[in-house]
Amino acid sequence: MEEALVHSEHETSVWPMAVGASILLSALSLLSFFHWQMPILGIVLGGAMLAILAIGLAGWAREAFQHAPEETEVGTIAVAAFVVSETIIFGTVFVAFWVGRIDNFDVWDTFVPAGLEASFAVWLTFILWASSIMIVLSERAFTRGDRKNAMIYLGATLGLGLLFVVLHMNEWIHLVGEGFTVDANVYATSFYSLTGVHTSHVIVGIAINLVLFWVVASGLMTRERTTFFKGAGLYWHFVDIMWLLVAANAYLIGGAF
Amino acid sequence: MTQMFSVIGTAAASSAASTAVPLAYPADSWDQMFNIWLGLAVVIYLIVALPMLYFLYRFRYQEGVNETASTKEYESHGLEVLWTIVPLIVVIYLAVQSLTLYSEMRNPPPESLVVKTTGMMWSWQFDYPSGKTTYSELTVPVGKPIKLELTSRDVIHALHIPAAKTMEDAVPGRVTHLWFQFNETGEFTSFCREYCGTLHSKMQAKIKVVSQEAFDEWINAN
Amino acid sequence: MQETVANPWFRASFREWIFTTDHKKIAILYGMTSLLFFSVAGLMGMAIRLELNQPGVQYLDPDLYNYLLTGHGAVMLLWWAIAFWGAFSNFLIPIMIGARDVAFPRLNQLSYWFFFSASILVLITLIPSQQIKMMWTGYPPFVLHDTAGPTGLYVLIVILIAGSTLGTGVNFITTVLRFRAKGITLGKTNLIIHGLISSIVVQLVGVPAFVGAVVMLFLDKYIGTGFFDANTGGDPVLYQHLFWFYSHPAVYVMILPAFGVFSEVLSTMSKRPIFGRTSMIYAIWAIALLGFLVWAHHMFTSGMPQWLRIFMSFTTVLIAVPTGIKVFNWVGTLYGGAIRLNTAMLFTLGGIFMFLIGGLTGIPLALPAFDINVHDSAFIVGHFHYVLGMAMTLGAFSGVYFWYPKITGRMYPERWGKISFWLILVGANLLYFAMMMVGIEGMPRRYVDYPEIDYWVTLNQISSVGAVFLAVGVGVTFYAWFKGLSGPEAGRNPWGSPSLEWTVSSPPPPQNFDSFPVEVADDWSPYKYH
Ligand code: HEA
Ligand code: HEA
Ligand code: CUA
Ligand SMILES: [Cu+2]
Repeated sequence: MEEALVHSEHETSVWPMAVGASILLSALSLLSFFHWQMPILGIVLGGAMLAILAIGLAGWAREAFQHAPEETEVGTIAVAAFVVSETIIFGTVFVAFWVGRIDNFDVWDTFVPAGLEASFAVWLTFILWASSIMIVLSERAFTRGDRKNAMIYLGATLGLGLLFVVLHMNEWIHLVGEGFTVDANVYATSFYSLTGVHTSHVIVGIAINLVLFWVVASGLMTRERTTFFKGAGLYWHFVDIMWLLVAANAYLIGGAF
Repeated sequence: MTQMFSVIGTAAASSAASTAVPLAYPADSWDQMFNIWLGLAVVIYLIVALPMLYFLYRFRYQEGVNETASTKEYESHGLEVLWTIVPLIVVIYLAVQSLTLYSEMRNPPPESLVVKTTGMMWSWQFDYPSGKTTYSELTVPVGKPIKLELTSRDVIHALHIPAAKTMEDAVPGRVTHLWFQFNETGEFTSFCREYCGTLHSKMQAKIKVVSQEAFDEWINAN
Repeated sequence: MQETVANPWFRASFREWIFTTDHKKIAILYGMTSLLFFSVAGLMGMAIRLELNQPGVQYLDPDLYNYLLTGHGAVMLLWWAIAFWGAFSNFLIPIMIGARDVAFPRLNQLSYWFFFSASILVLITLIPSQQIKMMWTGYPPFVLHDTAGPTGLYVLIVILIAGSTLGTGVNFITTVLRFRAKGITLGKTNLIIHGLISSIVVQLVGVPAFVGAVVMLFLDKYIGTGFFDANTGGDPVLYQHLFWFYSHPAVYVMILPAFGVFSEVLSTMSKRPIFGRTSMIYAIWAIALLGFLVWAHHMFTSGMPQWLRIFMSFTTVLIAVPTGIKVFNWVGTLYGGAIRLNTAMLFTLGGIFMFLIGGLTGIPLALPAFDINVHDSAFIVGHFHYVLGMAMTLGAFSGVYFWYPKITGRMYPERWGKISFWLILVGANLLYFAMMMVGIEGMPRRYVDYPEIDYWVTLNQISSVGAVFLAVGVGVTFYAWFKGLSGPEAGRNPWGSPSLEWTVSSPPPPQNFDSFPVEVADDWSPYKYH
């Protein structure tokens, strides 16, 4: 830690501004859709935002891998710091859940819908665990220099992640059909928030893994610079662990007792 | 203008006349807390500011006289311990003092008259135990503790009674309370102290303190 | 897409400025944006003072007043009291630890664009139909009410600002942990680095709570969830807990860097090492940590359980202890010095004297027996303007004066600086002291209109007069900074400080240092004058 780590780069870069523009667009898109009641405009802006974001991220990753200096072992600290603040975000939803749970202790039973199955959560858990194992295997393969297998395992991670999202959305549709809508009661509110916040993180994780897949497939990432790989893996494990807490609260403490 | 310095004025006056019955409870407890704090704060300020001003003068840069700073290493663990321990004692004293006063200010005497109070944009509704309801005007008997049970119909409000120096929020979905007692008859104003929109500053309620007989008469009339 | 910038960093082309990943240029971008918004928010404050000059509604209708107050509060806190320190972090941290740049220069630029995007959203609120009127605290259920204005804008402003601070947080924590030059241990770094980094850590942990809270607002408003809706089992007070869990620590985010500036300036201008250096570092981190255990002192009248009020009252007053340690150590630093009272030093001293008043008026607020009468009164407004409008702002001005020669390579005009200082000091004390007094007398805050009570009127008028002095003073400072750009050359080290940033040329070369790796002597310290 004592030795000075020095950047040799000194430059300009257009990619952060592209990503920044997509951030602004996403805010405007949400506002148009929800607040200004111009859903079409919202969707158009949202589409533009996705396109710019994709271009921006791709350019960024390319530039980082082609021009940035040697590995500096900073990635893991950064991801760890990020994970700390993500944990707090989840924490707020847990707090909301528990406040509702305690405030409404007597009437909670009436909040729980009939179609809620804890066993379903168990299946989802297995899916995420499998995907976590896949990303570990993928990283191992890559550090061995076995790019082909790394890609296969990473593809499996992506597939399982997607499966999780699809199954989960299906479950929501099913529950909403039973009248368990977000505004039904505070259990519904916190149930969808817990699982929704989590699923949105799964989606972000999938996006990160997609970028990862691309840099691995295109050969931009070499065996000497796997920080991004480690960071993405760490984040994916975090999402996985969070699922356990989310499921335990949303399904067990919320539903069963 | 003469009352401009009434901050310090009331402080001095209320400590002098602490035996007299105050205009309202729990205002007297608040005054006591205020005096304790003000005294301590002024002393602490001087303890810091006077040495600082002196050093600024004494060790100012002067050509030919004080051009370079002393090279001695001043470290004093004794001093550091001192200025950790003493403030610690002071603040713990303050918090304990506040705690004792606060439990009095918080807990209404059992014989209190309970008035259900509901805030709404931008007025107050008062429901008496007898079933009588008034809006934006609270009539209470003198010399009797009053407990307000507060809640709100729309957004959060807060009822503050300057003369009694107490307040509590009115929150939708829960019942909070405050209590006070006036020892003199008269008319007082209460203000809404939690921001509640356009007419927040107009959300006042009149508090009429009347004699017990007048109150009984009023409450029994339709 | 990349190219090397050849000339001194500050003489770069427009293109190089907006696409830059150089921490020094990004610092200037933050600083300029921040100052611009400070001026806008300050003018909003002046409009508020104009309205409050007399009872009744004269110039601003209530909704406009509420908008201006919301804008004033939110912009002052987010764009000034927090973001201006972003400029300091960016400029100083890499140089002070002997690094070439931050750990993730591109992420650093992205953080700025988050901030910039939030700025654009704030500008949208200037459109009459888009005015937010929920106050910077945004308490539900009022926020969900139609008269509160566009909730979505408020929420997204907060989220974008949060994105910016999280990016900065991740970046600078990594930088300080990994990029320190050999020999610069954490214990040896400048105190301002501890001030800035502790505030960054607090943000990293706290801001997500704020984000969670406002996302719930968004969902409640537009999707129909019931987090804060008492009718479906939700709880409006939940928001207050989440909000203050960050927004109390946020006040230390604003003041800890100012403490850092005070330490740097006091030590340099009196040519003495910081008294009790180690205890200073512990005190900073103790404040940062304790700050997370006191949030409910903003909610003493919200109808919380009794035990929570008591607990939070005790933890809050405890913060006086580490803060006191810092104050006493500053006094100790002056002892035996050769004190030069230039503009930077005056602002620092003013900042400390005013912080004392602000801090000592914070103590009674932590006592429920006291707060029960002054909560949401002008006394609170006085308290936090002493710590924010004065201690923090004077600290920030002091910092700009102090590092002005380093940033621009020129010397600012001392005379204008001093004139500005005295105007600000006198004006601000008139303004805020009268505010505290009228608060003790019972005047509520957030009132566009107040009853015609004689001494309320008098005190409010004193406040308004003070505000004029203050605004002129701020204007003079801006003038001094502008004039300084054509001032005399400052040289490498005009103050004779051993801290790293003064060992390089003014302004610093593009790579920060002439050679790498940077090395310091074994007994090096940024406060070693002999
Ligand atoms: C930079 C910003 C800043 C800082 C540093 C502080 C510092 C403190 N604040 Fe303040 N505060 C605000 C900004 C700040 N505050 C804001 C913006 C609000 C209003 C928010 C809103 O509602 O809009 C607020 C509101 C606020 C409240 C809520 C009031 C209410 O709404 O009812 C309380 C209550 O406890 C409080 C307390 C304190 C305390 C105890 C400190 C302490 O940290 C002070 C410690 C310092 C000292 C005590 C002085 C130095 C110490 C010594 C010399 C040692 C000896 C001292 C003793 C023994 C006492 N503050
Ligand atoms: C860092 C924080 C900060 C700062 C620096 C200030 C600075 C000022 N504030 Fe404050 N203020 C807050 C944070 C801050 N404020 C907050 C958080 C609130 C609570 C909001 C809420 O209730 O939700 C508040 C509330 C608040 C109120 C309370 C209103 C009410 O409750 O009804 C008032 C009233 O006087 C006020 C006034 C001022 C003034 C006159 C200044 C002055 O110091 C401003 C000076 C600056 C300038 C004037 C601009 C720059 C100068 C020029 C460009 C020169 C030329 C200009 C002229 C000659 C006019 N502010
Ligand atoms: Cu009701 Cu303010
Ligand atoms: Cu606080």
